[in-house]
Amino acid sequence: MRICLVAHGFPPYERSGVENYTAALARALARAGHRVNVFAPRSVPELPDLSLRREERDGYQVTWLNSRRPPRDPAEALDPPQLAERFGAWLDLERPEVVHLQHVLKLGLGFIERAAERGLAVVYTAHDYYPICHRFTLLRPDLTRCSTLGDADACTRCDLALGRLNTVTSLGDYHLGAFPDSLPDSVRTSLQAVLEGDVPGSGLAPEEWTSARARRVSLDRRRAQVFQKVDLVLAPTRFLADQLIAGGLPKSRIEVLPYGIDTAALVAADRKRAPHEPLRFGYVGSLTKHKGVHVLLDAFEALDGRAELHVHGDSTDKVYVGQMRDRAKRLGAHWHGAFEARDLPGVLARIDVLVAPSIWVENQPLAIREAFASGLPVVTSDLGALPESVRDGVDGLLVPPGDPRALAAALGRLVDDAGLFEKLRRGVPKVKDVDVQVAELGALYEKARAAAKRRLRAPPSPLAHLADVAARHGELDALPFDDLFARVVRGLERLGPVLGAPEMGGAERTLRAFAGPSATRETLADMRTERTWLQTQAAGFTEALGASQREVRWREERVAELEREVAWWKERSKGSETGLAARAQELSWREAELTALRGERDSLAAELKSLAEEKLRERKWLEDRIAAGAKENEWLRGERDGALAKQAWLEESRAEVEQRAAWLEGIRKEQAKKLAWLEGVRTELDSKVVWLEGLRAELEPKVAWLEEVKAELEPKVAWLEGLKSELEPKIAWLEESLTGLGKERDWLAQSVANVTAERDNLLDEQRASQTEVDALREQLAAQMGELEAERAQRLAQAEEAKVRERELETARLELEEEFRAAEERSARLQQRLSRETERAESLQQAARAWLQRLEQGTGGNTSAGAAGAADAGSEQRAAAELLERFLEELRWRRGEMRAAAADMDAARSRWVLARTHLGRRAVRWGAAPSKGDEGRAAQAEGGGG
Amino acid sequence: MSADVQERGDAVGTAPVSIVIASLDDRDLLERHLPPLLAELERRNAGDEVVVVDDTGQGSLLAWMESRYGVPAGPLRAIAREHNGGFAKAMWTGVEAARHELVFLMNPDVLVHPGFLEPLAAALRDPMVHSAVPRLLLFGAEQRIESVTGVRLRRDIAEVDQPALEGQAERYRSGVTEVTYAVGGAVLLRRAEFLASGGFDPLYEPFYYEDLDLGFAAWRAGKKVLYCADSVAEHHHRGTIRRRVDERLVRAVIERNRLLFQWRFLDGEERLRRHLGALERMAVDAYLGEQRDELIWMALALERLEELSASRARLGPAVRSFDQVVTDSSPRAAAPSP
Repeated sequence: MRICLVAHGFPPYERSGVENYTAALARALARAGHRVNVFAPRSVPELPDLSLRREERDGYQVTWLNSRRPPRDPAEALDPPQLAERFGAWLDLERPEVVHLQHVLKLGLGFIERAAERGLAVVYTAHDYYPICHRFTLLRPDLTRCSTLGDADACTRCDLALGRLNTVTSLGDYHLGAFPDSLPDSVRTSLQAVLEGDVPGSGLAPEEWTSARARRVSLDRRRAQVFQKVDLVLAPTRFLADQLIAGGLPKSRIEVLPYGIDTAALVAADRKRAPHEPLRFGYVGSLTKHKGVHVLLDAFEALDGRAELHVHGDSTDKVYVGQMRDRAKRLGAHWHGAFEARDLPGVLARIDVLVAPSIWVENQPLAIREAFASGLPVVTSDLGALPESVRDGVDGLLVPPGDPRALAAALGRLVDDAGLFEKLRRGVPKVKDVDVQVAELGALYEKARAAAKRRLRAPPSPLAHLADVAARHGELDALPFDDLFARVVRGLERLGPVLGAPEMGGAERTLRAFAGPSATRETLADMRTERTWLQTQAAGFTEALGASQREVRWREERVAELEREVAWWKERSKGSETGLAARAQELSWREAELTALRGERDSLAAELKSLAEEKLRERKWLEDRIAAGAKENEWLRGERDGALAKQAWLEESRAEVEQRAAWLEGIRKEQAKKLAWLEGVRTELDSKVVWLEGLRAELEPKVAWLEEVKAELEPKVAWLEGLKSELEPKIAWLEESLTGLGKERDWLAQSVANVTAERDNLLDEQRASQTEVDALREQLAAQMGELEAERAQRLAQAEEAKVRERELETARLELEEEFRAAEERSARLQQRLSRETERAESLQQAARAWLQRLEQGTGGNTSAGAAGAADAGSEQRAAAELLERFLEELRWRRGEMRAAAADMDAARSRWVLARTHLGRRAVRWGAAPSKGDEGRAAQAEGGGG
Repeated sequence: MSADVQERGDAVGTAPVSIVIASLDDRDLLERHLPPLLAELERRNAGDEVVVVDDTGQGSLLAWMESRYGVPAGPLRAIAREHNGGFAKAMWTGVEAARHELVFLMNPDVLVHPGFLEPLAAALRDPMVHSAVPRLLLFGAEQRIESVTGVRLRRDIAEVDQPALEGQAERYRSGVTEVTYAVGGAVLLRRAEFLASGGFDPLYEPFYYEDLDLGFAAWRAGKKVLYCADSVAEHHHRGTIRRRVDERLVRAVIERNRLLFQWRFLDGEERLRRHLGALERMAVDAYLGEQRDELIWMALALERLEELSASRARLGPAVRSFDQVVTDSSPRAAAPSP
């Protein structure tokens, strides 16, 4: 069967439980004769995004999908762009019959869809709660357990709470969440408010809650819909299966299939321990918070050094790992860090009990099965599916989750009760091997394939005459791409003879196949051309970008310059405003003056005009009058002429006429006078006009000057207006920038406030610490007082010791004196002993000689000397008595000698002991005695006394 | 053929023609295209007939024809195949049943224009003309003539050349020219010759390239095929099969048959060498380009090597080589109508 295993990571890049399990499963499936291809993502910066790379390994293939772009939001996390499409294209090439997904985290739900829509059997192993919980652990961001499965509000709170955590950069890759104690007060408060659904307390706007809920509902709905397309869901435990069913997955598609693991390298060694050897507890696995390593370290501390603890593993949550490492080292635990999968047997061989202190509803940790396979009992949390793995009191112990005391008690029981350990060890079950699971999977895969066939909408049945070709097409289409290619290549081998083509050697075939016009070559050439073009374009863009950047820099400089200019203007405007105001005032005054002058000029001009008009009217009237007078005069002249003509005739009326002429002359004179007056008026008016003209002429330069001033001022005003209009957008931009800066400042202020709050928190902590330090200081001072008192006591003791030392010195001198006396006595005794010995020896010799003589005398003259024999016998007795007395004395003397020597030895011993004690005490007096030393010092003093 | 019919045919300058339509249950197409055809036959009054072959294998079309047209009615007949056999077999059935020597093979998606038969029949007066094809307008577009056909080689792989579909329609608007083959959906040929040659070669079953094969074989045997611009019909291209069969499968059969066609006629050592090299290159190109479909086409063709051998064996002696047929049959600008 052609099987594609999909995992969200794969060794050597990812080495957690699921990844290692997938690798073991791939090996086992390949061993069982299946064609296995593992499809997994990785991120290699030097390869193009979405590129595929194939690798042969342990009888199966691994296809790596290079995925370099992290998701930008929850929607992208659920459906990373383009990854599923790439997978779909790959499926079209490889045509697996079964797609067995281990996880779609980092890959997306689209992987399930792409497989399902191709009619492939889709199998999903639920290693966690991902199908029903977007956090896949049923853990909230504060690492407390969630009990509201499928509650959109609760899930929304999780989303928003994660947003709170994301603001705390010091958490690093916090993985699933953070303990509230590790958070700054402000974050902790808002986190708790969010998790409690306290909208006002959360600091989030109500619309943020609304949109977050809508998004969460949408994403969860999509996840639920996609998981409906899975043909078979494998749950390693009953607990997980029940949760999945409760979460909405169809019961009919769920099978409980416990993990099988590769047990080949894991051998249950005989672990009899010597009574003096400490029990070795071990943690092996991912070092993440929800795995509860901190609980284990707390428990280990309570064991007070009665056992060993070995910690193996690592994770990307480096902050937590660092904290645990430091704590483990402080507690004297053995910190080993990450290990290679191949080293697992060795890791397990060096511990006696595996501890799995998870605080989340675990599924079926592989570490427990690996421990069992190695013969290790397990202590774990009584939580989730863990009781399905570990039987309390049979092959391990179950403890309440997250309870260091309970865990410490359980570990303590194992330390103290060797019988319990042995019992649990004997109860360790046999572990299912991955090969067994592969056999089980075979049947399940077939079941999934049948379901997939039912699921896939049957294609329209082809016409009868198309049935054969349609079937052949379908079969060829179902072949993996490589197989299809191989079939074509082999078919081409058979074609030549059918066509009657001459046989071609390998070289000719190769030449004809590759040296001709090739679509691939053309495509590659096109791609190179395109690449060159793109490179050129890119270079152009780079250049343009450079130019843009330069322009941006120039603009920035210009902006800075303008800002400086604006500042200068602002500065200057402070002075200029006054000047400008004065100028404006002056201008206003001038304009008012000009207006007044213009008004005056206009009124004068109007007056002049009216005067001129009046004068003209008068002049006209006068002219009319003159004309009329002239006419009259003419008429009169005519009359006079008539009269003169008639003078003769009118001589009589001449006087009258002359009178009349005189009268008329008077009138004429009067009129001439009037005319002269009028002329005078006219002259006066003309002079007034001239004056006015002069005034005008005088005013006009002023006006002209004012006009000039105005003209001069107008460009300035215009320039100022221009400058103003030029500056206004800049000012607007600056104001906008200032607004932005204001916002930024507000944000910074907020940040500062946050930082201040944080600082306050720190100050609070500092104050608390200070208080603690003060308390410690007081405690220290008290201790110092005690020490001082003790020192004084010690000094008194030292004084006393000096007295005692002097006493001892006296004693020593006495002892030395005694010793000397004893030595002298000993010497005397020695001398006396020597003398007595010499005397005894001489007596002995004499006695021996005498006895010898006696023996000789007795032996040499036995018959003749009977009397002599009697004398000799008495002498012999006397000598024997003497000898006896002498020996008696000798024994006495020797006893005396031994007594003296013992006496001397005792004196010497006392003296040596006294010196030793003296020395020890002298040493102790030089240093402060510890509690233990006090007793010993007292003993020493007691001994010395 | 009765004497009076022959006379009537002579009277209008044409012989009577049997129009054979092989059809699946294409009632809508027949509804549209039969009436103009019958009207044209009535106009001709030459004693022509229409034989509709029901290839559904279920007699459903025949039943419909009986109820709709009351067949047999006038020149219209319908016969049903017992099994669905595809284009080649259905046409064979129809031609066998035809009563006249001249047979116009027609798809139900073809709409004839008035006077379409006379130029074709005139062309077939030349005994060296194997078949004749009308100016077949794709969807009635004057600029898209489907029936000007040739074969060209691209990277040593044969492909159909239809220059009048690709912007050269103007050159073929009138007159008569040689073409490599007559499009199978609208071709006039001789019944006896068709039946004697075994009809469309079964190598290409279920469809496509049978017509190219027929024409190419005729050229190879020394005959020729003519395109008559004065005869006009419209073709609703591939409207029959594609409505019932997956597009991808149709394309696969076409491409498979393209290869089989070349393999059937290919000759000459150098040509064979070059072609085999080209096939290997094609396979490698397809593999490197991840072109699954191209490999499937090749694999489908290579699965029919036995049928290919038999098909090659059916070919008679060649008057023209493969290359000569390609060259000689290549369409040129149409000569004025005779």
